[in-house]
Amino acid sequence: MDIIWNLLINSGVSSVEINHYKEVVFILTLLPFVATLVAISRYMIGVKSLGIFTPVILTFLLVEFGKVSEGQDIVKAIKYGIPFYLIVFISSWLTYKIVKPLRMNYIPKLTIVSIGVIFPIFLFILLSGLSGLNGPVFINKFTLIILATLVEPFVSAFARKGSRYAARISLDTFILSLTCYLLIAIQDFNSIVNNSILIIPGLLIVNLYLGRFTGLRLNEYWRFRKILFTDSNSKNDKIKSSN
Amino acid sequence: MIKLSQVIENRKLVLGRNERYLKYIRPFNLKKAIKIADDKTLTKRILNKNDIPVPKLLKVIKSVNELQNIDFTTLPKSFVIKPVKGVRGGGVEIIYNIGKDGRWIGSNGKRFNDQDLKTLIQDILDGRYSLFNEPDKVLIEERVRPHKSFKYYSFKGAPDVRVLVFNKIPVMSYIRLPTKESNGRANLDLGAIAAGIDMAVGKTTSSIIGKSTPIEFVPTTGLALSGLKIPYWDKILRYAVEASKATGLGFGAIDFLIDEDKGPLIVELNARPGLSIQLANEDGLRWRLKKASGIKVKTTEKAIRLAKDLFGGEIEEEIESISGKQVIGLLEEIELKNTEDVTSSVKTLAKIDTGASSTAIDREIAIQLGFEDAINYSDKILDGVLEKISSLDELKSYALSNKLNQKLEEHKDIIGTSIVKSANGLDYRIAVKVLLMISGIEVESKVTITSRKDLNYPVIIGERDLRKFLIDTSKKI
Repeated sequence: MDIIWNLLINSGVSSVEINHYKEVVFILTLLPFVATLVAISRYMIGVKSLGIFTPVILTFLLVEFGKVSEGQDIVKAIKYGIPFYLIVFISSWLTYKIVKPLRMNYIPKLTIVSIGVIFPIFLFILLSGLSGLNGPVFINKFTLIILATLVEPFVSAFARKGSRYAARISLDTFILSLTCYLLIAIQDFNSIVNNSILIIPGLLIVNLYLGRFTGLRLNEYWRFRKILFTDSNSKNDKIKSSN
Repeated sequence: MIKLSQVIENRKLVLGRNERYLKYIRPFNLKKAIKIADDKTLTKRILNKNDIPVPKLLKVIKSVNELQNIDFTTLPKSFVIKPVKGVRGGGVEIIYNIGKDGRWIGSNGKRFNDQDLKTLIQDILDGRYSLFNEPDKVLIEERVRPHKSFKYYSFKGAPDVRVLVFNKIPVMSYIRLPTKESNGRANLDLGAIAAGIDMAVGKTTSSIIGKSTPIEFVPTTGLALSGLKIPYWDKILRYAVEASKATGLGFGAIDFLIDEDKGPLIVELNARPGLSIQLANEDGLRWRLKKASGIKVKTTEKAIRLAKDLFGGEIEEEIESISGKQVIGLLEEIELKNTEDVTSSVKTLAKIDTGASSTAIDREIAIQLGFEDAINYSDKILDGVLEKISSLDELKSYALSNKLNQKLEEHKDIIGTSIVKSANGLDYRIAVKVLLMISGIEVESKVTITSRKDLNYPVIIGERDLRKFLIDTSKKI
């Protein structure tokens, strides 16, 4: 990677600008990294999440919330992440409950739910400012767009599997994203950037392995514990043992 | 404490989601087969063409136009309205009859006039019950009346028998019984019961409720869930194999409803069968699928025989004991022992009777074996019951409504109960575990206790305990 930085320095790029290039490398490397963590969590542990990229987006949302001048403030990320996520989830749920019985095409239904979501978000930021906490209003406004995109996976879950399942899976998704975020936040910015040349092929190999992984997921060891952890005294032993 | 080597062996038995997709769904279910399985109208058409019975399709409604022109008078008294692409069983309305007021009677006492039905159908067409609310089509099917075998096992609704077929061989099966909790639906997600079925004899073995909780008795009636015989079992296996052949579904689940008169009907095919079937059968799928792969299946008969031989339970035992059966006569001097206390043993003359299904011993013998406590316990519960009852049906419903068998089985020695109608009249008996020594062979048996003081012999050995023997009627004691 040093070759690239030297190339840039030699063509007259300032060190502040170089930092931006480094940030680009950082984010781009993290993208497949987080996606791989999501894949491992699903195929090896058995944690269900709302789609594949929702946890990825959420993780980056937390990165954005936790951004301070030097690296990441984990507490700040959580302090903003949880309330915003909860607001979007609960307002999506309530608005969906209202529109569900109406006979409507799907996309306008979704749009109405998004309208139902923006009011509480604005209210939250406004109320925080009014009570003297002006942190929320200074967040990167693009995060609001990202929060709004969560409406689609939430509504899809409500529609397909009911509110109880949707609540559980949304919680699991958040915990997964939080875990990925923590794993990123403790990393050293520079070591990721400089080792990206190794990290990316490494991720490639891991994903090729995951793609053909036929083992039991961790939650399946629990689900099938009755079969896995009993002493087999069955007469079928001699038949089954021909594996 | 279980050994690690045993866990490693057990691991090889179980199929997980990753392997299910990579090794079975992906390679063996071609796009064409999945398309057939996912489209209920296409499924029916293909099965019909191959003479495989399905619930009769009365109408298909594809558009609002067709809905306007519908004539409800052409429909039979009872039918089922279903969305083609419905999720989680939503949008399914079962119509049972026409009421005296001319309105259709649905589940939970709901009543519909023609306009109400049209609204229902319109909702389905609009995609209210489909994934992402996309427009859907409506099927009106004949209603399947559940077979009477299931009357005391299922709460409303119709039980659903699923057979998992791989490489045209049925490998595992279970029956889903609707419960009060599931509101009459046969979905495990909603709280229905799944009972594993032995492939050879078509009887239920172990059961779970919901996706994984073990259960032994039907919640509403207290009947034991194991031992229920599935009617038309051989036909079910046959149709499952033929459906797999006809649709090209290499790895799939065939779902049947069993009609009172028409027998088994295929309602649905599933190209992505779930894994709870392993919990219902307390056995893994993986070893069965491995066994079934690589076999060239030429005929349906062979497929059925393989299913029974490879994956059935009881028949295995019979094959083992065919050679070397002990010969005994109609009367034998036997020894009985209490399995909990082998020092209490009794020797007596026993009548060998293949006409009796199970073994019965006299109360005195039972007392000598140490079951006096169990007898007193059961006498107290059954006190005066038989005097008041005169018919078999009366006794059956009395037993059910008072959950007699559950109460009796609370005693540590009582392992079962049975209602017996014999020359002596009606009897409600308790069963205990006893070790029988007949002509040098040990037989562990579930024997019923009764009063045989008016009969010639205190013990009669029934057909269930005579599997290891050949009866020579001329043999003298």
